[in-house]
Amino acid sequence: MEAFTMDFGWNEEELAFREKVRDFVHTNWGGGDIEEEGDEAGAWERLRAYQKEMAKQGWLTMAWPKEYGGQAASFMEQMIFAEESALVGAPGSQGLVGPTLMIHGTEEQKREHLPKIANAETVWAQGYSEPGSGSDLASLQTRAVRDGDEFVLNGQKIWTSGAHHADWIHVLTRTDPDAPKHRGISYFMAPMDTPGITVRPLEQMHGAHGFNETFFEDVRVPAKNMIGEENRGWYVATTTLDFERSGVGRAAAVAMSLGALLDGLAEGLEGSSAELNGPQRHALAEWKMEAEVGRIIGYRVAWMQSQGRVPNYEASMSKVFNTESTQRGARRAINILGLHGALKPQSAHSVLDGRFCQLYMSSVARTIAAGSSEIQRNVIATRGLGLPRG
Amino acid sequence: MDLALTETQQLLKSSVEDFLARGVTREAIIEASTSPTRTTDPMWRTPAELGWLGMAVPERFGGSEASLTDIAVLFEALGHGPLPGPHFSSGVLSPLILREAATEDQQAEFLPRIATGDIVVTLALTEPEWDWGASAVQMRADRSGDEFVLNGTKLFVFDGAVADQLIVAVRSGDAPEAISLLMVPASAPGVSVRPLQGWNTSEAAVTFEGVRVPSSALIGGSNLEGAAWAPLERALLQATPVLCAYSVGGAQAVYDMSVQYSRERKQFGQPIGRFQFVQNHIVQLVNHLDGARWTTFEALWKLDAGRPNADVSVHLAKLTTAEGYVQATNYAHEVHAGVGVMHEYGLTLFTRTARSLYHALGGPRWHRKRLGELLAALPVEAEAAS
Repeated sequence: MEAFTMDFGWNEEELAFREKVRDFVHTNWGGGDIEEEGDEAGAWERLRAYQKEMAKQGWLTMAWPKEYGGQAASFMEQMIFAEESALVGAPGSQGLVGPTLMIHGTEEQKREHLPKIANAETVWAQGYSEPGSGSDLASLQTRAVRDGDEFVLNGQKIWTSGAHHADWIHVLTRTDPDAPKHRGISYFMAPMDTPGITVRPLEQMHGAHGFNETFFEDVRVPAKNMIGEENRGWYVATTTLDFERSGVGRAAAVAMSLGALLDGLAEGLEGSSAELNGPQRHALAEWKMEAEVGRIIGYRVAWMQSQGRVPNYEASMSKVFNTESTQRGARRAINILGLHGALKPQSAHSVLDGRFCQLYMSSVARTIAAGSSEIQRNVIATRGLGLPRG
Repeated sequence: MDLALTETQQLLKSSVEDFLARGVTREAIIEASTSPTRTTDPMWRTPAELGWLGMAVPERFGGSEASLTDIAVLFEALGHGPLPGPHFSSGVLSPLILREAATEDQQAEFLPRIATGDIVVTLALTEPEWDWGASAVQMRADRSGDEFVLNGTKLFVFDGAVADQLIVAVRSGDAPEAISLLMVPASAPGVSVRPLQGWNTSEAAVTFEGVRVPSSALIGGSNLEGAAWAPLERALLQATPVLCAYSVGGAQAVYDMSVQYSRERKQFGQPIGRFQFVQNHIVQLVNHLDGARWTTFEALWKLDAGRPNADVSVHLAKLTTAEGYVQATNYAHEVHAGVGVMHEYGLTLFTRTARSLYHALGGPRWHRKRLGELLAALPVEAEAAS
């Protein structure tokens, strides 16, 4: 008999998978929020060790086809993994350059790079944004000029996460300055130790150094390190990546922060009363609402994908909603925790390991990175709601 | 009604702007923000030489005894830097407390040196079970002969890390407002000051272990033993809107930065200020800025002009300004996107300051409660007339 009701639950396989993942993350991650780590050096070691454990399970690149070192995980499995990881602050699976190579790479490129990504052997940095090209990424200016069987790169990238640790960088360049901006871009890979590449760290407002500026000065890249065709790099890079885009990880993080605050208040925190007043209770209720709404709209995206449907505005909505919830949650926490909440993890008298001090500052960038809220709203309005373009 | 600055106020404002443009640049402030004391020499000595630290000090003690509005105009301009340092704690709050509570001799002992900047004085009131108001003070000072002995911890002492003297609030009895104030040298044996690491690098934890001070350290003498809360509250009422003005200056600065950035930054072939979202962010920002500014200056006017219900206006100004400054920085970040997140750009100085000041001199919860109590006690007609 056909089901005539909606089902928000999980089947047996999904439940078993969830338990398996939960065991793994609890055993191997051990606490702390990967997004908040201020002690950069220690955080990096921990991340690498964890990624190697993930790789052993085949989970680092779980969405990849098996032939490339993946698990061909279903959308639901990917989403479950993302959610369970985020609930303990652990990092999720890898994306980006691997799938791009899978779709557009030559066999030689795939053989050289994919196994090492899947095994957590090589670390990649992404060279996309530039000081003058943020939201308008297609206006990028880093030049790549052909010289025999090489290209010579000159320019500057910014917000390059992890460039100081990376082995390789994948970078968008302009190969035809005369063409319309989207049609003059080529996509290259280069080892980070290529002469001419320099990395300058950027200090973010929560004290962490995750981002860098990356300078290219007469950097020679073999033509065989181009991914896809010349001047088709924009389309190569924006290939709809066939892995889950639910954003449930962000929603789970919102729920996790709320849980941490509630647990802390119940146990008793210096400077805070366990007896919350009316407005504080309302604030926590709103936070809970946002965590739940964020979770459900994320689930919707994953379900759509599992049905073979392509989400567009639904994924944008998840990103906007969950990043803004994160910021509101951090503000509510600080308002409740008062001056104690403003102390860093290593400070005397800090509460909850200074997590909300960190989160308050680090959450600012969340509505900016990976497609700003303003851009996402444009996408929602035009693609989702069919509103006329501005 | 006249909402313009007076000529004196204009001059004060210009001289601070000059000082910040030439003497202490934003780059210098960004650099100083990572050091524990955050007060490099020019940031303290020049204001002292220009008489800015003596504006709340009576003339007979070497100050200029300016109106609160004048002082606020100065502090608004300082907040535009945002100039770090104990200028407010030592140049405003402490002299106001001493004027309200201290004996003439005690004023003569401390106020001249406050005005010259030779000593830094700050208030130590909050304790680890953090709160505000008289009930927040639980630490006692025991009498031992002709001395007081202090044991306990004061937390979030603003500028505690650089203070020479601490005005320490202690409890002298069980009645809610049975508070005394003691002037304690930071160098006294048993006092240990530990800077707290947070967004505001000037806050400190101050621990007292068997600290002995003579009974002459009692501010106001024996008359004010257990009776210092009322004068302290009067001083706080006057000092709070000056701190609000400092916040208004910061909100003004991030507004200026946002407008400029929206004109200069181009994406998609045009200045981002042409996009409605960016415009909306700045409009929201200016709403918060203007709300903060005008509630603050109305409170100051009421205090200077001796109008009734100034306390209502002060609580209102603090609430509006605390929230307004934080929101202003939030919107400024939305306008600035990536570049605003980088510490070297300078916007985050304001973000951190705004957040740190949110709970200073009482958080919104406390001010809302006080405002509610005062409003409930007001006859309805009087509210409109004030």
